[in-house]
Amino acid sequence: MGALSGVFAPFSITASALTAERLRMDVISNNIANANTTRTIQGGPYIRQRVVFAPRFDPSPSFAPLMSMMTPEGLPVGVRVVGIQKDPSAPRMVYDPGHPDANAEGYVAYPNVNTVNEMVDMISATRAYEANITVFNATKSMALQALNIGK
Amino acid sequence: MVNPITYIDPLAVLQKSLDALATQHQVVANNLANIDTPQFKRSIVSFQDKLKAALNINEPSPLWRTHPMHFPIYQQVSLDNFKPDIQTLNDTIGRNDGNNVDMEMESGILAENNLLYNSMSDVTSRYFANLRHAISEGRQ
Repeated sequence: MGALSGVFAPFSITASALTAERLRMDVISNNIANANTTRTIQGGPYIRQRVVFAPRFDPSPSFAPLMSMMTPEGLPVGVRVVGIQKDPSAPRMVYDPGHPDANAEGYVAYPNVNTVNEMVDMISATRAYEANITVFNATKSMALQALNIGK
Repeated sequence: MVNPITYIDPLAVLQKSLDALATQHQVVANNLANIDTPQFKRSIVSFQDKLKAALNINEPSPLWRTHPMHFPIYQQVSLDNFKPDIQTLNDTIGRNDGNNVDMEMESGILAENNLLYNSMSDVTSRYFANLRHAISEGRQ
């Protein structure tokens, strides 16, 4: 029995969510940190990044009977980050002819990062992280309670 | 009306309900883990009604009663095949991203489930304490 099934599965599920939410927070921090970055190695301004979440499934075959109840892919066991995507929206053009990165018309391409949006995402990530911490504590208390059976 | 005598193994009932509550906990953990996953649909676990129904089998025992006033005897209830139902709620939409996980609702289920699990494991502990009591008192 792997870590993805049995009594300890919720620990692994919650851990996957905590990892995912923390990565989301890292990406948000990076977006805010680079909100005014006008040049990158690839050229052009920094492009806002966002994480893409997808459910994680247990590949172990021992769950076959349970699988039929859930989805064809197996019993869901948490969340995983499938990738970090670039936001395709256009950069913010600011008229500043004195800027070294200004184009021929005097406009500077600033990153497509909206700090307010990033702040809202950050609050959402924090709340999700807290909710998963609550689940983790509940799992721990249940596991300890189960260990006390018969004492 | 005389209550039929049904033999139910208390430990089996406790085991099955603890298992079902653990499954429910896992499903709630998964729902909350996927609170920000687009198109994710929450799942729910139901077992109380099914367990109740499984305990109410009134199949008469093959034992004969020689007098109508004797207690009726019923067969032993087997819970070997009992399993909680996990259902994915595909038909509701909670948010614009197609995810229908509600943090408050899941937290409520989590708290309730946690309390139920703690009380069931407490009952299981008491069951063993009773056995131990019977064993040790019998020695004296």
